[in-house]
Formats: sequence, C-alpha cells, structure tokens
Amino acid sequence: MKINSPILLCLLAFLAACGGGDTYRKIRVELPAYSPLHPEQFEQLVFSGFLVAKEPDGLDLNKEIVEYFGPEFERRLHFRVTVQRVALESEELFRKPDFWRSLTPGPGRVLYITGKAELSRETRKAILGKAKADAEDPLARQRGIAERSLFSLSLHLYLIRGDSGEVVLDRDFKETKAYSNPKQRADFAFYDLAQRVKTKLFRPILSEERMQERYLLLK
Amino acid sequence: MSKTTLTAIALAFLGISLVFGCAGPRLKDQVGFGIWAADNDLWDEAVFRWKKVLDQDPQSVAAHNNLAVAYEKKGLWEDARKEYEAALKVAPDNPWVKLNFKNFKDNLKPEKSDKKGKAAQDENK
Repeated sequence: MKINSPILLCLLAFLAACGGGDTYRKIRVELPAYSPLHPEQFEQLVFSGFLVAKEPDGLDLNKEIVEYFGPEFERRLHFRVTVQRVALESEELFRKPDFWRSLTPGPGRVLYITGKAELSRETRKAILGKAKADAEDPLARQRGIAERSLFSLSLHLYLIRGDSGEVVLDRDFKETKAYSNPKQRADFAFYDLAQRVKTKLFRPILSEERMQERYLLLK
Repeated sequence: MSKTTLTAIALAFLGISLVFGCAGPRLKDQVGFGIWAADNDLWDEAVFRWKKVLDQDPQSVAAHNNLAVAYEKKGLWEDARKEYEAALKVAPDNPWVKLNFKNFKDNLKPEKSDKKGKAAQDENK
C-alpha cells in the first residue's frame, strides 16, 4: 500500500478524530492516612489504666504502657500526659459515655486512653537446619532442636473524648515475636512489640502519608 | 471516482476531523493539563482544571474521578467520596473508577494488625 493512499489518509483522519491511545494513567501518589481523631481538639491525654488479661511475672504491663506510650504522645502530639487510674471492671465500661463524662471535671479538652492488654510468653521447640549425624554422641539428634521464647502482645486501645464520653479511636493490635534466647526478658520483648504497635497506631493518628496507586482518566 | 478526487475528499475529511477533534471545547486539554499539574505535584491547579471541566460538562467521568484522587491527596475524604460516587453514577462499569473507589475505601479502614505474628521473620530464622 502506498503511503499516500486515500484510504490510509481516511483512517488516519478517523484516528485523529477519535484521539486514540490510552484512556487512563496509573500514578503512584503519597496519600495521607484517614484519621478519625483530630489531635488539635485535645490538650491533655489521661492514661486511665488497662484491663490486663495476662502478664509475665515481674512485669507491670500498665506501668510499661504508660512509660512507653506516654512520652510518644507528648512528643508527637504535644499532649500533656497524666495518669489517673480508674477501676475498670469490664470491657463494657469503655462504651459507657456517662462514665467517662463523669470522670472529666470541667470542659477541659481531655482524651482518655484505656483498653485491654495482654503480654503472653510461651516456650517453643524450633527445628534447626540439618541435624549432624554423629555416631559418637548419643545426643546427636537433639542438636537440631532449640528452644525459643515467643512473646505475644495484644493491645486493644480505646481513645475516649472526655467531654462527650464518645470513643474516637478503637484499634486492636496483636504482635508476636520469637527470640532465640529462651530466657528473653519480658520487658525487652514488650519494648520490641510496642515499637510495632506504635508505628501502626501513630500512622493514622498523624495522617502520615503512604504511597498508593490511583488511576487518572485522560478522557 | 478518480484518485485525485478521493485524495481531496480524504484531506477534507482529515481537516474537518482535526478541527472537531481539537475543538471539543478544549475539555480534553483541561483534563490533560490537570494531569500534568498533578504529575508536578500542583494539586490545587489540577483541582482548578478539573472543576473547570465539570462546569462545562458535569457528566465528565474523567473530571469526577481525577478530582476524587486530588481530594484524597488533600485529605478531603467526604469530597473524594462524593466525586467517586458521581463518577460511578455516570459510568458504573468503569474499571479504573471502581478500582480507585475500592482503594479509597480500603484507605479509610484501620490498618490491619498482624494477627499471624511475624515470628518466622525474626530471630527464629
């Protein structure tokens, strides 16, 4: 077919009229995370205690939570952090606005942090690579097995408005980590696991941006 | 019909097509300019362009969809939702709008906790 063929020209004209090409553009864009909490509405954060389901011996989970998360809230959200332990009888209390309203003395911009916490520890046997066959050693088969400490932190957090008693944030976290040291200290493990919770907790609160894909339409 | 006549008709058709293709009251240009602005992180400019398209053509799926993405970028969640819904009302089967809307709704959900744990990724390796 010759290049100046009239039919080819018509085809080109038709394509020009239609526009041709793609109809969309895929983009990667940093989008803020949705936050149900507006930190600017509050000035004080009150740790009112956690219902502790389980904690390792010698570790006060309530104290550890306050000591770890308190400074984080102060630093990141500029809240004044205080502790006001409340007798928490059951989980139903978290959803009782009257109770939380009654705790708030005045029209202060108070946010309560409470919830349910559990740090559990278990020892597991882990199979290591290949067990070396050694005819001289009667315990040779056990070389392939080692003890591991496994820590799990369950944290169900509630952030509650002092003025209305309304729950503004309700998040459930569960983090697990295994340690090769069978005598791993529980407070160190808590620190590791709380770090993971912190990342997941503050990302939405601070509306931190995350890379996401979206499609823009060209026509 | 001679070859010359055919060529003349084709050229005339090409000319008319180009005139109509480029005219389309420059709406495509506005959509494209908005995309260029978004590419250059000028989201306010992009919003301005896509709103302009909607002023002239309230049924523009591209403008509704793209505006929704811009509103997401600005953290205006309700506005974004309205624009996605408007786009889907006009083009309920558009796969790209549907995908964007799904991703938008996922972004509003709380981040899933690692229920299974990450034990295997840690020191247990």
